[in-house]
Amino acid sequence: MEIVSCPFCGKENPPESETCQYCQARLIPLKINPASQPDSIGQPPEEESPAKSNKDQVPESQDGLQAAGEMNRSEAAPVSDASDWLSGFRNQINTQDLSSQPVAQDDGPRPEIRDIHPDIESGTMQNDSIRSLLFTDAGQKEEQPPENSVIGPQDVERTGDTAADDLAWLRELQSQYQQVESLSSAGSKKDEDWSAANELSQDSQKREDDVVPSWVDEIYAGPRDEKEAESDLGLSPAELPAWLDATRHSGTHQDIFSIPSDYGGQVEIAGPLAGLPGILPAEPEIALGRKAAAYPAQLQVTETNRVQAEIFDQVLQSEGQNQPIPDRGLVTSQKVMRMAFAIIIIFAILVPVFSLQTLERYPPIAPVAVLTASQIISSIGNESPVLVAVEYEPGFSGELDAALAAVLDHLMIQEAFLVFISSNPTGPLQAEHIVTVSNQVGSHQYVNTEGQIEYINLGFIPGGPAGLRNFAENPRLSNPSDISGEPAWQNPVMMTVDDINDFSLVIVASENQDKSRAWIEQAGTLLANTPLIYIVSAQSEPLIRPFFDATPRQVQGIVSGVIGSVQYGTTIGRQGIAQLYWPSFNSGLLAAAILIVIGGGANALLVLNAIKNGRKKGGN
Amino acid sequence: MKSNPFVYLLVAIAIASGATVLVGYFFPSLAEIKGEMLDWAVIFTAVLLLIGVVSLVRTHWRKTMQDHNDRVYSLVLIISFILTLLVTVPSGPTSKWSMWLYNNLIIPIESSLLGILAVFLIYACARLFNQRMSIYTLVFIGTVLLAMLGWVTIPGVELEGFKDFRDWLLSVWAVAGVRGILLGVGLGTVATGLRVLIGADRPYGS
Repeated sequence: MEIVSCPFCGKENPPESETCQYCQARLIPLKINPASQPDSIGQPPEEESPAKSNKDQVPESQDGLQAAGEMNRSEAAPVSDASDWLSGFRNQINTQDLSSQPVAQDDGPRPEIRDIHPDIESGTMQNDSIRSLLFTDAGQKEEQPPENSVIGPQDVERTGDTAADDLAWLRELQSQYQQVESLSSAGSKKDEDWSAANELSQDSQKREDDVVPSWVDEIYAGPRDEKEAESDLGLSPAELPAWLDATRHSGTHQDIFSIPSDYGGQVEIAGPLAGLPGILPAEPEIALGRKAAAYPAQLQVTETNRVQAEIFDQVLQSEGQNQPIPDRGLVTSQKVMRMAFAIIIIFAILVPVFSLQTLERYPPIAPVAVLTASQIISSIGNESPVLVAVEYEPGFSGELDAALAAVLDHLMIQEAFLVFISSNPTGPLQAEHIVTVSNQVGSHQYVNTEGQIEYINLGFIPGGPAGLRNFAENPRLSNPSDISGEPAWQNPVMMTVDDINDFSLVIVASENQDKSRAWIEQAGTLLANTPLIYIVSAQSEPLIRPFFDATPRQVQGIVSGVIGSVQYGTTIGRQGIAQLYWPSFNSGLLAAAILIVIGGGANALLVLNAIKNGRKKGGN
Repeated sequence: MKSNPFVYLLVAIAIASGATVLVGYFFPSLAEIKGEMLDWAVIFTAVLLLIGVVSLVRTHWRKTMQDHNDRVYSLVLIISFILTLLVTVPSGPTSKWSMWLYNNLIIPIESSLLGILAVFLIYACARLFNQRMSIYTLVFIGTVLLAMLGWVTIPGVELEGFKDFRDWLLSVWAVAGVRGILLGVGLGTVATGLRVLIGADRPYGS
């Protein structure tokens, strides 16, 4: 179903609606068509115009104005009909001698003009009645010529009673219709009829305007009174320049109320101004159709821009096309280089395994962090509980196993009671693994059996930092049993531990800086006299170093990677895993440095050569 | 956008929990409540870990059922998971066979990945000049070489200068940079905690 949207409020209305049911705005725009005006004028009075249907919706005070407008707004009346009733109207005038014969006075009461108007508006009065009334009044006016052309409101009653209106306007009307008749034979009959009818309408309007209410005259009487008052006071009126005086409006109220000719015949049918004629329609600019401006379809561009646009278009088209992938051989230079690097590194690592004599030279001096850690562990007494947090992934076993094994070897020598814990899911297994490695390398027999318990694996701490904090505050409640499910705190050594401060030493082995920092922040702050030592990978050492260099120290010792493990073993005089790893680690490190220097230098030369050739090409 | 009323309940729980733990640090009388909240957090995290395992297996089971090119990897994961369960559950996580799986599968595989990573890093350093020739590239490569040579020992060759330079880099430049990072991390952690406490940040749902 088609829906008409209001151009003002935008709401939807039924298609048959002429006005918006929400804002009363006109949905069917007015179209100024002078050719249709004579039709409106020529509509017989007995035909009810559509505007009459809206009459009941307008206020009573607007009836008079509405009537004039409705007469003009009448639609769908054929021109022939207008000619008929106009011709009858003309014949009636011709058959009567309006200038000499007095009009016979009827015995009955004669209706007044204001009483007749509603009948005319409603169309109930027939043509004959109108004619008789009009020409009866005309005869009366003939007998008593009017004294003033302008009839004031106070004269309306007298006008009806004495019939003093002259009939000059009727003669003028007759002459106009004669002109209309003479011009109607031509092809522009419609236009002439419209002009004459329009003048008739204006004349009728003028008569209507003569019957203005008293308050209108009071309004226009005001300035005259002030002027008279000023003259009474002896004040001469101001002399205005000619140009300023020319701008003043010198017309009467009729001129003020006059309307443009284009819209004079239009009657507002909707909104608060419904019924008023001559209202400038609010939407002619919207309603009138306009032909869209024709713009040139071709771009006004220069030749350079056109060429660039074509290039851009070609680029865009090429983007959508599949580009064939060049066949790459199985053996490329990069693959060869990668294979060569791997072979060289593997060779450098394997050579010391078969010939330990070549690069068997250990770092001579141990740093302060390693020495401090060694001294702390050396002070650990027999059966002292030591908490070891295994927080590294299995992939870092090669590096951290060596470092942690050296420290555990020292602790086993001191016969410390080891308690393993981890916040890493693989940490408990890694703890078992490192105990096994330490037993093998250091010839120890640290076991956890029913008859001999020398270490306890408390397993996994869930919860991340919150779990670490919970364990540090109350380790008994956090992990009541070991990884096998056996009660962990019934051991004589463990019964002495109620808090993390009851451990003699806390060791954290991690390659992850986040977990390392979590242990310092969550557990390290609760450590009062218990030292904290870190076993870290070489990449994590710079992240732990600030805690060691702080004052007071938050970390009392650091053993970093393979080289730290070697230094720790050297400090305690033990040959651990690190000593086994060191020759291969050292040669592999040296090979890597050499490859970086050679490979980097070769690539730098290639790049410089390419840049040089590129400059030459550009210069040529 | 209309927010879910359930979110307000989540916000209330989060703010109440965070405020309770935070106040417990300042008032020792509330330490028990704080410890209780931490216990709940640990339990919830453990349950989430189990849910994660179930979700992982479920996801890969769906991939196995679909006609996907990588379904073989999902099938390997499911088979490995089942075998690990069959080995670990009856005998315990530290039994002989459990440690065999760990020592002979997990450690070698992960260590091999890191070994390959070392080779690729060396190759990338050598190719770095080919990709970008700038002063920053020279500084980076020079620092790497000096740090490596600071560890290396060569019979008959004294490299004490490299070792001193490496110690200087580690104790001055690296520590200075890391301290800045730690300060930033601390401030960011405080800001994030405050945002959660006032309900401005809702990592648990919008």
